[in-house]
Amino acid sequence: MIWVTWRQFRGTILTGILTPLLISAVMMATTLVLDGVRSFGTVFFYCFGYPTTECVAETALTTASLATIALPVLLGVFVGVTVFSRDIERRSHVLGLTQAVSRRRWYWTRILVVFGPIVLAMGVLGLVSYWVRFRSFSGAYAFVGYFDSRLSFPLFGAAGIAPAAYTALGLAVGSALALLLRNTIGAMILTLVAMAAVLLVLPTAIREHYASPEIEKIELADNFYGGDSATYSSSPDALSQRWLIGSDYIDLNGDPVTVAWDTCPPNHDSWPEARPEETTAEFDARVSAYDRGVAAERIDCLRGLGIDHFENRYPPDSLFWRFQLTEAALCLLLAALLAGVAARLTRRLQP
Amino acid sequence: MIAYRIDRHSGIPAYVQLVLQTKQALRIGDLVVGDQLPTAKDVVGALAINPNTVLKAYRELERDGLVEPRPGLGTFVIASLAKPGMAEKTALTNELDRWVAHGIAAGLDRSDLEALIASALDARYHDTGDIER
Amino acid sequence: MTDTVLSMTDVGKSFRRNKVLENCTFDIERGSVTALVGSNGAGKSTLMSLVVGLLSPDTGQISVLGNQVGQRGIASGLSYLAQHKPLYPRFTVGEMLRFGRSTNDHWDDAYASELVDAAGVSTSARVKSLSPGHRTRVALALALGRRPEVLLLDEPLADLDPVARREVAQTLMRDAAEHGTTIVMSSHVLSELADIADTLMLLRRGRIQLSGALDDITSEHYVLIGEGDPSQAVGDGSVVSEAIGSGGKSFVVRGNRPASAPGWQVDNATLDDVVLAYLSDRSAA
Repeated sequence: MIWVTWRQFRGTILTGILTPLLISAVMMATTLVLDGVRSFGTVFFYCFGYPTTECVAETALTTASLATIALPVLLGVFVGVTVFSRDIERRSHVLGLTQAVSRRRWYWTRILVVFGPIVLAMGVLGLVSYWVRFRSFSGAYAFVGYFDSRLSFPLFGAAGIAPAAYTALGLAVGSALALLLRNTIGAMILTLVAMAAVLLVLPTAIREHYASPEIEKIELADNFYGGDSATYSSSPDALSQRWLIGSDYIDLNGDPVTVAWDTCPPNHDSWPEARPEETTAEFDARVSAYDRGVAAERIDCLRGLGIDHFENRYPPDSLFWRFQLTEAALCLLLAALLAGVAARLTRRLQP
Repeated sequence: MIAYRIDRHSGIPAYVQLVLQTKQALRIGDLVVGDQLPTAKDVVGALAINPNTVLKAYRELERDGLVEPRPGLGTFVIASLAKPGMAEKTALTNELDRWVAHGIAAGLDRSDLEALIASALDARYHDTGDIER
Repeated sequence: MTDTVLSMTDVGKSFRRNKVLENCTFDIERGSVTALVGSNGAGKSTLMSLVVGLLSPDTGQISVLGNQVGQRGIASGLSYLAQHKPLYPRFTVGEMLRFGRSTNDHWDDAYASELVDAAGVSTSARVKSLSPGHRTRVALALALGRRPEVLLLDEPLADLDPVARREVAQTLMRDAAEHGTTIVMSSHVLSELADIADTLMLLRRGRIQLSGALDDITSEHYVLIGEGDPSQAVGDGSVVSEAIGSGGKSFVVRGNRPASAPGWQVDNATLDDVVLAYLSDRSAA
């Protein structure tokens, strides 16, 4: 049965294995090229289309990263579905099911021989992708990620063991839908939709709950410009590589408070204008004084609303591998459930 | 070796055709004592008929005492239907034909000739007491 | 002494409120060649799928070679050739034989290869390049390679030219003669089956209307030719149907042949007469 499955699907298996391995090879090659050229990463936007070595390498790396993100979906659609739907549409599953092989064995051999190696190849890709990106600093060498945390989309899903886990899920979804619908195109479309939904929902609604976030507390008096203004956001030294999952004004009870943008000053546009007889230094000083005044007003206004401090919530970057394991476990669990469902659907498969 | 043929439109059951063809072969000497009849497998492989048809025909031939099955070896001819002197038959036929021609030339019609033959046969068989009576 | 290799007891199967099979009960004896006859859509394929374990019956039981048919897959002494003769198009014939070897415990590779050889098919030919006749013979070689005791064939001679039909029939009969294989084949073309089959099973509207030895069935029926209402002439027999195309002048009757029927001509019934009468729309059955 193993030989039969291999022979039936050798094209699919080879494509599914070689594509991620090829992308891995491209990634490694471009990284080594860039290693020889630069000692730090650069931003994609400045380089697209330019034929210099580093730009070509960077474009290749970017494309490879995007491919890594898209592959689990594509594999689910074009491998997960076709592994069963081709047989079923041609009704040659009747042949397979009328030999001395049980339906269970027919199904699981196919899953292991076709899906197994592909998931492993995606695992290799994920690890290579991780090595390429994060060995110097987060987001090295590609436009995606210079300012992003590796915990967020799209970096998280393109590195580590996540691509392999997503692929397992995609394949499971595709095969279950193929057995359920018995219609290739329909199963492909639904697989695409389902996987896109999963890859959308995971980073936006689910990942943040894997661990309780760290809380950065910013006192009202300490703010972005250190007193000259009163806007609040992340501290400047954490501008990149932090995945902010929430920031709010917090009141004395510890509850978040929503403040409309124009509730507290500044809500007027009367910034000082330069007077002709002022020197730049005098003007700057006057602007500073003005800003401090407005800041003080703002802080008083916020305090008046019961606000105590500003808060940023983020999972620390060091949790990357823990998050990877959690998300992979989630996906693999879901994949296993779907595989069980598909196995049951095989039992009901009609000629 | 005998090669069976089935005429599907003759109205005669297939197994009967096989029996008749076998007997014919025995009569004209295509099959002699000791010859093996074709296996059921070979017959149905050529004719695409049900193997039971062949078995039925062979059983009938066995009942008639013409063949016997030998387990593991096949079905073999044990008796012959060939009457000696086929050549004599040819001579007799020619003689009969000449006699008929003489009779016609003498002015006899068909029923006259038949009556003559019938009384000649009656005289013979009645005299010697052959079983055919 | 009867050796039943396949039996159905009161089997019923419906698809979405459509009753495809109802109260099907029959026994198939070892060594018989059964013709399963019925109009298109009568349920022949469904019946075979049930025996082979591809479908489960709603009611009733099926047993093959003494074992109940369940969800465990096809019974080990049974082989099946589906109507669409499924093969893998991109495999070569040699690889199809290897498929048979890999997926079956008792596989007679020499026999299967010999059958493929005898058909004049090269083992390196790709399945999708084969003619329908060659396809059927390769698929049949796969089924026979399992060395089954019972062989089910769903319309094996359909879509074949006369030469191929003859060759397939020869192969089947040779296998039956040599190995004593019990054969059940469905067809809606009678003439092909008349020489090969010794048993008939007729399926109409999901029920088995006739079942038995071919010779017995034809001798149980006769034909009345004449004008008028035949019911007076049949005695305790029953009129099956007006013979198709006879314009009210010929009737197929089941029962004891009357010695004479005034106003009627009595004739033997051929297999065609009987089957067409039962399958006809105007059948009283």
